[in-house]
Amino acid sequence: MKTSIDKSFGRIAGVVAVSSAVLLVGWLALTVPAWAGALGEAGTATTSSDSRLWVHTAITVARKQIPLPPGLWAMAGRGDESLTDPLPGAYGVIESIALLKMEGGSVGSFIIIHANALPVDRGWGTNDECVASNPALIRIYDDHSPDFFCAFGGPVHVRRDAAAPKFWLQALDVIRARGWTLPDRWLMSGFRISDRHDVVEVRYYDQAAPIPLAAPPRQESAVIPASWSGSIGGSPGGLASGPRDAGDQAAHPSQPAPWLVVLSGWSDRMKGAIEQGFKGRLSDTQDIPILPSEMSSGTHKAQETPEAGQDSNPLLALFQKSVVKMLSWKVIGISSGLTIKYLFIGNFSTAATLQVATSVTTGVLYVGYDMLWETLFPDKPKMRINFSSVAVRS
Amino acid sequence: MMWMGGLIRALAPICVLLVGAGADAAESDSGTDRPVVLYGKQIPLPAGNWQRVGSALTATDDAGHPVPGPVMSVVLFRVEQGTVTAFVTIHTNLRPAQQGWGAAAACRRTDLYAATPGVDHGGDVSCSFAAPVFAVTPAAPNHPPSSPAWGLALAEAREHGWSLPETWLMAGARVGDREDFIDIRYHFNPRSLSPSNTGALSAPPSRAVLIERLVQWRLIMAAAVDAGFKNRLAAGFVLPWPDGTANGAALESHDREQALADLLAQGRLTPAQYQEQVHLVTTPNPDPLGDVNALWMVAAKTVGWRVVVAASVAVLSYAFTGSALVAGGITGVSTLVNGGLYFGHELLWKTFDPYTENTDPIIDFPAVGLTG
Repeated sequence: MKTSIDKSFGRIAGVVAVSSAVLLVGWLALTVPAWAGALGEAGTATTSSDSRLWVHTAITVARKQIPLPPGLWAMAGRGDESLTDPLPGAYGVIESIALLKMEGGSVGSFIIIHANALPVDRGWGTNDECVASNPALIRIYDDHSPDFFCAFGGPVHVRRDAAAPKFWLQALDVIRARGWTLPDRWLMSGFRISDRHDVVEVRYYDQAAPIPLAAPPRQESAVIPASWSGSIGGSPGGLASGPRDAGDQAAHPSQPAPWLVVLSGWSDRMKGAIEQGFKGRLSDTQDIPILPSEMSSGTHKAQETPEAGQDSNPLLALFQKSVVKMLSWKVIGISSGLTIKYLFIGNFSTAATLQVATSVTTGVLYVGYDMLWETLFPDKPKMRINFSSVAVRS
Repeated sequence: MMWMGGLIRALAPICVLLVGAGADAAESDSGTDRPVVLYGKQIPLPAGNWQRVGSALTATDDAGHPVPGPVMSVVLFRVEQGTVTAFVTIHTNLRPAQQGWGAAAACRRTDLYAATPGVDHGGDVSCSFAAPVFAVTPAAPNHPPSSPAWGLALAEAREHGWSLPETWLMAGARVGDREDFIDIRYHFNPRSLSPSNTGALSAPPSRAVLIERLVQWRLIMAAAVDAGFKNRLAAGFVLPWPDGTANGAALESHDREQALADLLAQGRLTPAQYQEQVHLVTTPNPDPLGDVNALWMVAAKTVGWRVVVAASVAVLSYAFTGSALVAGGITGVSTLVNGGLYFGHELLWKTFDPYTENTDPIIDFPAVGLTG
């Protein structure tokens, strides 16, 4: 009795296994060639599995890895673009890629990637979004020229005009052809990372709905200071504090918008993977944070882990040095000036008074001279190189 | 924390014993797949058959101080007809650290033939250097090998009867960030650097010619090591041999023109874009930030300031003394004397500046010999 049950069970299991294998092979045979074509042009997934859908941790674009949050990503658009600004040198082309993640019949999130095909040798500067002053997330992680690393973001709405970049029009065509819907408003979180040779700019567009976009932050407190996130996480951010982070929060203690809290926390968690990917060192087992909208609302604050800053303030060090140098120069300059004046005048108290008068006058004059010089010959602003955009600020 | 350092130091020799044999699992250097990948970093190598002849794990630098984590040292030999024509020593981390791996002392030396500081701040390091090296070889048996990995390599050479000269030409690079680093030094047998027959042995050209070639080659090597550290070397990448045929700048522009031509052939660049980009390769565009920091701007500012000071001293001196002669004398002499003193003061600060001295750590690993 027992054996006959075993036998019939085994037979059923065998039939099921064989038929599902046949189905799987057939399905692969039908679909893989179509995928492989798209894949061949577009770089490869970091693991050996060749498909147009990535469930893996990263996609490689122009030899740089870009981390993908968990999920099934499909490539919908790909194109080569060239910059209008030839500053960086011969970069070949800028490879641009659009990845979609579906949720029901709608695009749940998408990723836009730009990366240079050929290395240059003078760095890639920054982009407009990392130096913007209107309400937006900006976190500068590294600004030691020629290296640059910044996170940026905010609410945007997608472009559907004919002048949008080609690879994006291609993605829009795919979306239309499949009858999918593409919401209008998104919460964008981007990273720009570059060294002397290469650049990657990646933007993660997340559903705006689960995160309230209402109550935009006041204009003045829009740039989120790195030290501000310390008020949630407990430790002050150091590295992230660019020069434009200073100030505002004391004067405007108003609560920042929820999306700003969410995006800044997410950027800090994603940052490590972006950096690892830029170095080509993302492993398959790497933990890539899920997109902000997929987190339950309660976890937003709990996961806030801003980095503690380790660098001492370079401006302070420079100031210290200047003061010590100024003092040592003043000792030399005043004693030599006093000696010369005494030799000419022959009266020590007159010479000393004259020395005090000239020291004070030149001190005051120097400030004016320095300011005039800086105004006439200002430091040139950082090179800004922007890539094509598929969405505009809302 | 002190006891931990002591522990690491005490355990280091044990680690070396444990790892000596089993380290090869973490890499693939079959010789045919290039570039070789060692602990997550691509290693650019010149053409030829490279063999791994020594590896050892270390937890200390060459001064015996503990380093941020275990470091693997590897020696590769390129053997041709019983002679080692080149060897490479590599030091790299096994696991990421948090606060960087320091710079190599050679990065900050000013007495080598070439040392380019490149990047050296807050844990980020990228530099290259070149120098002749007197290596401890089997021919100099009185000195113990400087590191376990080099000892294994020498034993291998003895066993196979390979010959090694004592003098080598070395060019190396250190690339690192807060988490990872690689220190790689290429040593060339001077007799193998003849342009006529790449890599083969022949009478060496003069020492000056060889060093000049190495200094040129260093630029290509440093760019490749940097790209390899970030895993951006193309499959099949092979470093040229430093025999004078590959000039640093020329090779780069040649490579880039070829890459642009490939993109044109693939239809990824339009002919107009191709022309524009080739133009960028062949005509150097000036550094957009260069002129602000140019020396003549600093000089102009200094001279302008001297004029302002002289004027104010002249006016005040005349007001105090009422004598144009005395005022003129004070102004003239103090402008000259203080100008000279200021110049000397600046020079002294430049030479002995306690503030700009880089206090980031230097972490060196045992070299194979003395740098001449």
